[in-house]
Amino acid sequence: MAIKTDVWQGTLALMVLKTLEALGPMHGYGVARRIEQTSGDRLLLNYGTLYPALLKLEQEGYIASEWGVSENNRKAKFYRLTRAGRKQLEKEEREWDKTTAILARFLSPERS
Amino acid sequence: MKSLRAWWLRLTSAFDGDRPDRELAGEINSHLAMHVDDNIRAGMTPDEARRAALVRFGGVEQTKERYRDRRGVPVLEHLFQDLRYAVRVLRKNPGFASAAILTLGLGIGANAAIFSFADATAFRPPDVPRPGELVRLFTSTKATPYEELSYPDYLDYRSRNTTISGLVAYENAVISLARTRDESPHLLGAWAVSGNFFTVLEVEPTLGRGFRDEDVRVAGASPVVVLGHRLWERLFQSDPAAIGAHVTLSGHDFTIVGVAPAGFGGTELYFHPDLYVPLTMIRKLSSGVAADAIDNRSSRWLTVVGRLRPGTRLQRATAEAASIAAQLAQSFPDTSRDRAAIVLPELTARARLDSGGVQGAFIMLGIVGLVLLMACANVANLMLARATGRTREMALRLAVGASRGRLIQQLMTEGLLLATAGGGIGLLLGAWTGSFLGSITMPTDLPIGAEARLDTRLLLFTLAVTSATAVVFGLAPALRSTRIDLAADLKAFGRTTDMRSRRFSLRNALIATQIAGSILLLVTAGLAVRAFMKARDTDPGFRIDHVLLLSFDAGMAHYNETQGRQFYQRVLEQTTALPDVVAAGLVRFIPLGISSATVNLVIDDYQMPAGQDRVAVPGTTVDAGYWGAMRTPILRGRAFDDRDTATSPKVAVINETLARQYWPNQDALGKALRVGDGSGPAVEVVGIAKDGKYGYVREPQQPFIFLPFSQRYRSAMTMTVRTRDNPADIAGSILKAVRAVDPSVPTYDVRTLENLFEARAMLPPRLTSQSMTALGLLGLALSAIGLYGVIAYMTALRTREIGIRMAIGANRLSVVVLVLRQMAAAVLVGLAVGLVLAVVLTPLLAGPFDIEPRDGIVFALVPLIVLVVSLLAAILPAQRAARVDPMIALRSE
Repeated sequence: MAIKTDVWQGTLALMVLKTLEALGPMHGYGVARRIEQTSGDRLLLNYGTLYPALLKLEQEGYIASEWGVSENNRKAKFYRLTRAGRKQLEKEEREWDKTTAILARFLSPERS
Repeated sequence: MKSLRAWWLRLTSAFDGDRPDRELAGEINSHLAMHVDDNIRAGMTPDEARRAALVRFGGVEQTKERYRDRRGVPVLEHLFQDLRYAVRVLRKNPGFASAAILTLGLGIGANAAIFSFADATAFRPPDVPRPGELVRLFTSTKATPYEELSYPDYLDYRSRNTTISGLVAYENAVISLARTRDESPHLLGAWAVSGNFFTVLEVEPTLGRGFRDEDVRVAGASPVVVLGHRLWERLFQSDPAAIGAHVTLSGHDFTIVGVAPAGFGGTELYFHPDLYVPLTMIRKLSSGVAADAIDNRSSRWLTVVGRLRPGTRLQRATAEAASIAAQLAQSFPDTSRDRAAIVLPELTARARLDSGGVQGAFIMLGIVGLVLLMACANVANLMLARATGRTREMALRLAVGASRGRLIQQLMTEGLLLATAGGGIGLLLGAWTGSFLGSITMPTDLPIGAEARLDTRLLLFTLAVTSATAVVFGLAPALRSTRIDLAADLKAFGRTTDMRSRRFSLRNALIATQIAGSILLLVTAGLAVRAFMKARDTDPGFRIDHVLLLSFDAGMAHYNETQGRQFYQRVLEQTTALPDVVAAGLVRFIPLGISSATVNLVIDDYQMPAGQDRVAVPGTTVDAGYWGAMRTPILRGRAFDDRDTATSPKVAVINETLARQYWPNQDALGKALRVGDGSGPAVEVVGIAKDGKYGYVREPQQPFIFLPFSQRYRSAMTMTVRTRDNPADIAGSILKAVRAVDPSVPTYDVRTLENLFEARAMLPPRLTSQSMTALGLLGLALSAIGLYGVIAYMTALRTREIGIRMAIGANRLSVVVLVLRQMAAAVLVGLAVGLVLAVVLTPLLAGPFDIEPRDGIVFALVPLIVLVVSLLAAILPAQRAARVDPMIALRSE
């Protein structure tokens, strides 16, 4: 079932970073489609919300951008992960794991 | 770190111009293009593909807006943007903009002017570092709550206290100064100050040195003087060589050791000393100081100012002063029994000693604040009217992605721009009026008078008023005009015909406020004018025309009584010998002058109230010629004459009120009284003079006693000369004649009685009535303009409705009535509220301004005036509405 949802900012940033790690340099449209595909189309992004998030990541130095040409010969702005971005991704992944583990204990306490 | 970097990028990008905008647009376009490509590949038609891509993207403009907010510093960026936009909008509406700016300018200007005056007369702290630390020390008894200190007391408080880091003492003195012994001296105001005066106040002399404690250690032994900056400029043309130069002060040789800094004029509001001398030199300089003044613990003549030690609470200082007072009372029961001490912050002390001045300042600020409020209400009204016209613009901007906060911010920026322009005009107006008020001086040669000036305090005040103004008139319209029903307002082309919407009730409230405000202002103005008229019609008890006044102080030339009497005798002879002179007399304190005195009396026939052994009555010393020169009639008995000499029986002349008050139902003539504590010889009442005004012109009738110069020598006297023609014309020849008698006695305060009367008696009520009238008329004009604007605007909105009414048979009169009725409620409510406020508030004027609060004529006339003016302001636009051609009105939409 597809959930149209306002993705929580922090989560969206994590998804963007993870996507860029997996795909290498990619434009905004590609990142958005990839996030949807990865979610099994259960997550329907308002694509517009992606761009302020990309800008924020760029300002923080986790990703960098340059103009290039897409696979279909369209001019597009490509984003890639920076070194700082990679470190940040690792950190956030760890934290996310921790958070979900804690939450999991709460949600199914009988198993612990 | 990360967030710092992000902020830096955002800050710098605020100055990138529109390149990032274009880049974002390109990025979004490429995104959409790729999405459309994909959609087509998935089998959609190009149109469907494009629509689907747009839908999935969400609002393109909203994204851009949010992206922009994220990119730069929104507040800063928006401010620039809003300012540019506001300038453009206001330029497109020059009528609105200039009306608003002018209105605010008048309001703020009036405030700045009154503030500069109020600051000069009540609020401004002394020009010393950290003036907030300054405190005044008083001793007090039950009878006199705030009394000065004697010199021995001062020394004890100074050495025993631990809470005040430095305690200085000073006394005003009038002295004469001559550059050389032969030069004719002129009079100056001096402060005789303690040795630590400059160090404790932290006033660093521009040149030379201040005083030291050695300068006051031995009385009369240290003839040194510190010049005030202005005197140094005047006397020495700012020549540094003045240090070490000699001047003759009251006949004694003094050495100049320093020059006070430019901004420093003592610690008082009204007396700005020309020069400073060591405290213990005062006996040599001023004839008015008793011989034992320095040593006598019961002669309390010193003003004492201290600096509270940093971090010390006032209560501790007060408690300590009280305990020192208790010690002194024990050690010196004769002089200090039942005497307490009190420490007050400098500003509080001012308010206690001159409560009228401070209250008056607050009241004037309140009145002028009301004017500003009305100006704000007016501009708010204009903005509301415009806002309704801009509903569609607002709706559009909301639709394309602006948030409501953003729109409010933008409207407030417009308001701020208006207020700033108004503030600029206001500051100019304020500085100009303030300098006029500052040019008003006391009728004396001494450095007495308030100094209004354009300083940082005035700038800060104006700035605060301006920004407060922007909020007051900007916020309500901004909130109102951004509360919008998108769909309806976009369709309606900004035309609303619903007269009962809340926007109009706010407007009605504004109108009512303005009417109430103008009632209050006009009643105040009316009362002030009536007070002035009463002052003008008051009989002062003497003729003010054709009299010249000249003051002398024979003590400055160190004359003893015999020499002094000879001097005055010859001056009178020389003066009356002049052809134009009708009569001449001498008086110690001229009535309504800046100084006065009271005489203690014991009246043999009068039963004193319990606990009182004497009465204090205003009085002065005069010679035989005084009444003739002043044209004050002696009603019964006689004036002083040659029979009254130093050795003859003591005599006095009293006024009608004194006679009535202390010898009720008896004839006072021939009765006896005693001057002072009652131990002296009996004084016979030989004459009863007509009542007059002595202290100020609106005073209740005072008792008054005249004592003869021949039996009571005073070294400083004023000569009153009645002349045949204009006294100012022959002032020169009189002055020449008296200077010829003895150039070493200073002549000062040469002016006509008319001039003195004008400045002392008429100026205060005239100034009050003029400024209050100006403010009242300004208020009336503001409310009339406001009313006119609202009616004009509302009838414009109803053009269509009025057209329909007229088309189906309404006549012009009924249309006018319809329009007027709409405002009637607001006007009447304002009228009622204003009158109630006036009745409640005007009694406050009685104390500081001597204005009677109850005046039937004023209270009847003012509502009538306001009503007529409101009617006129409303009828103009109403008539215009009624003249409208129904056909045109119906087609107007």
